[in-house]
Amino acid sequence: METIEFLNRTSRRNIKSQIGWKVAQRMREWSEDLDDRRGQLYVQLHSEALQVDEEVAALLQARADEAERKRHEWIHMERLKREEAEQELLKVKQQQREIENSEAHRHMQTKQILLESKQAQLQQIEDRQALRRRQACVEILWQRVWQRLDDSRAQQEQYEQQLRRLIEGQCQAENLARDQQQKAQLHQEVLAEQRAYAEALNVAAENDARKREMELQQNEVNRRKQLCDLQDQISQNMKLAASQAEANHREDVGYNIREDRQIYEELMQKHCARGRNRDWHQSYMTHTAEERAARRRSEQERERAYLGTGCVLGQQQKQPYGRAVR
Amino acid sequence: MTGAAQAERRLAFVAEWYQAEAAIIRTFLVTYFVADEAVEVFDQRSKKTFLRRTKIPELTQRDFFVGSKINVFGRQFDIVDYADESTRSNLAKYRKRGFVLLKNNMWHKHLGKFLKTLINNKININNGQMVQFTPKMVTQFLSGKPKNEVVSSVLMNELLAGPAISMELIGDNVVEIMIACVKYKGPDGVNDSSSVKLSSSLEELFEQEDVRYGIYCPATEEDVAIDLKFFFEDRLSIMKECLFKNSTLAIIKPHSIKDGLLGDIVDEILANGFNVTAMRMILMARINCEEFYEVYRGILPEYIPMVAQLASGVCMCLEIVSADPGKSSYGEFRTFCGPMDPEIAKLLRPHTLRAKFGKSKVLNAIHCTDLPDDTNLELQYMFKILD
Repeated sequence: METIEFLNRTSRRNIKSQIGWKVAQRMREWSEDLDDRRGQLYVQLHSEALQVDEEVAALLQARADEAERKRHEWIHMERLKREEAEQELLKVKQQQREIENSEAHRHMQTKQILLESKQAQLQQIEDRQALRRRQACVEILWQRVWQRLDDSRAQQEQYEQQLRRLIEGQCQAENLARDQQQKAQLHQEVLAEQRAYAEALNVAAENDARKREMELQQNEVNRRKQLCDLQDQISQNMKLAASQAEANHREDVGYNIREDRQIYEELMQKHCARGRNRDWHQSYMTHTAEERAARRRSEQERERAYLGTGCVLGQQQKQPYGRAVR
Repeated sequence: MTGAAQAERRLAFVAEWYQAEAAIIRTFLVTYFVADEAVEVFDQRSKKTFLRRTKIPELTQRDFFVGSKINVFGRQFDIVDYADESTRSNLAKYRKRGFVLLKNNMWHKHLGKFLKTLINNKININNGQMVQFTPKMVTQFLSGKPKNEVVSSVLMNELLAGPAISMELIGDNVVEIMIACVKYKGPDGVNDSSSVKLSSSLEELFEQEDVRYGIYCPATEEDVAIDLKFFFEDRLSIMKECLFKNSTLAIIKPHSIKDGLLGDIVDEILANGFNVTAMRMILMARINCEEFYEVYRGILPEYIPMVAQLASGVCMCLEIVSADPGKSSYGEFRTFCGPMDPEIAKLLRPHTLRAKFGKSKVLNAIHCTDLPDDTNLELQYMFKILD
């Protein structure tokens, strides 16, 4: 039994491991295959990329070549065109030169040139003459104008001269008279001022003298007045001192009297109070005696009332204790 | 609603973030403020603001709908539900889901134009796959349909004739628009039954009879829900199988789909001698993207942004077969895509897809298989391994 089980188990294990191994193998194969394919793909893509690259390069090269070729062609064409144009120009020039070189043509030309220049000269001369004539006319005109202007100016100047002379004469006489008058006036004014100054000086001297006299008088008066004042003051002071002393004395007497009265009154008061106290004390004593008697009476009555009933009437009151009470 | 309240219009969603380090899914409340194009993220577990109201210019109102993935500062939030009733009623009213089935003979000729016209009319393609019906499946599909028998049998025959393409559409009033398209009778026809006014581009497309009869779409929203469930949720394995024989994989990247270039790219592919033999639209998780791009790790310096780009939204996977069976589909299609860098492509191969639709080395519009041996591997990964 055990052997069979063992065998079964072993075979199962074997199968399992075999499966695992197979799977691993397949996986290995697969990865190898994948690597292989990757390699192939890489080679293919790489070669294609290279090919494409080449093609692109070739294309670009071809384009560049084409462009260059076109440029060359263009340049060539341009050069051809330019050369042609030059040839054309040269031909035209040559023709012209040939025409110029021919004799008859030259003769005719010279003649024409001569004729033209002659005509031009004539024309010029004519022009110049006309111009000169005209200039002369203008000059004469100007001369006339200037002459007239000069005449009028001279006339005016003459008038002005005359007028100025006349006015000058009048003005001089007037000025002289005015000058003299002014001088006299000034002289008079100076004199008057001198006189006024002299008078003022005199008055000032008189005033000075008077002032000095007045000051002397004033001093005298002052001194006299001061003496009188001093005397008056002394007497007044003495009078004041006397009245003061009298008042003091009167006041002292008043005070003494008042104090005496006060002492008297106090004594009287004490006396009265003592009397009153005595009366009150007496009445108080009688009253307390009465009260005590009344209380004792009432207690006696109560004891009597409760006598024999067995009631405890008198119970000692609780006394407070403690140091403060004791 | 007053003017101030209107200005403060906002959309609230419940979003999930997969924290790779802890291997847990955390739930957040993402609020989008329409007025200033700002986003606020609230952590529902810790009851704290995770990201305060911040302007993120890459996000627009069109990015916010249930089922979309938004990228907030490198962190991918999957929007799983509406967070409040007003958003639900608001968005549900305007952004309705529609369903359309393109029949075999129609999409071969008109798929690109059809997609282009829909996108130009603001109808987004949210999901899609190429399906191959078996008789059993057709019966199951047609079982709930209240159509008369003739139409049903015709439809059954048509569906059994070849692969069809089913698509989930999102747009304003999309069910009515599609019905109106199907019933359109040309510019001089009497349009009595529908009140919807079609745009000129739609009218132009649906003037063609084979387009009009080449699509099937349900008439009511309930039918739409049933059909969407049938095709995209029930996992009935009706997706068309890949050929795995002289075929290659193409992925139209999310940025092109977001920019509305899907129709143009598909049109280009179909018009340049390629056939689509399988198709599905898929929202890839970041881990799957990493796995898918594993072979580029360490080879291309743009590996990480490439992964981020592929994970940033819905992408469309196509199995491409060259129309000329003598040629190698892989080589032809790779040449048709052009160099990886659109700048170089614009310079060297101006007629390639990446030159026309790419923006940068990462946003280069389309992914195609780079190694000849990897075509089947990548196709298998996309169409078989990813559920």
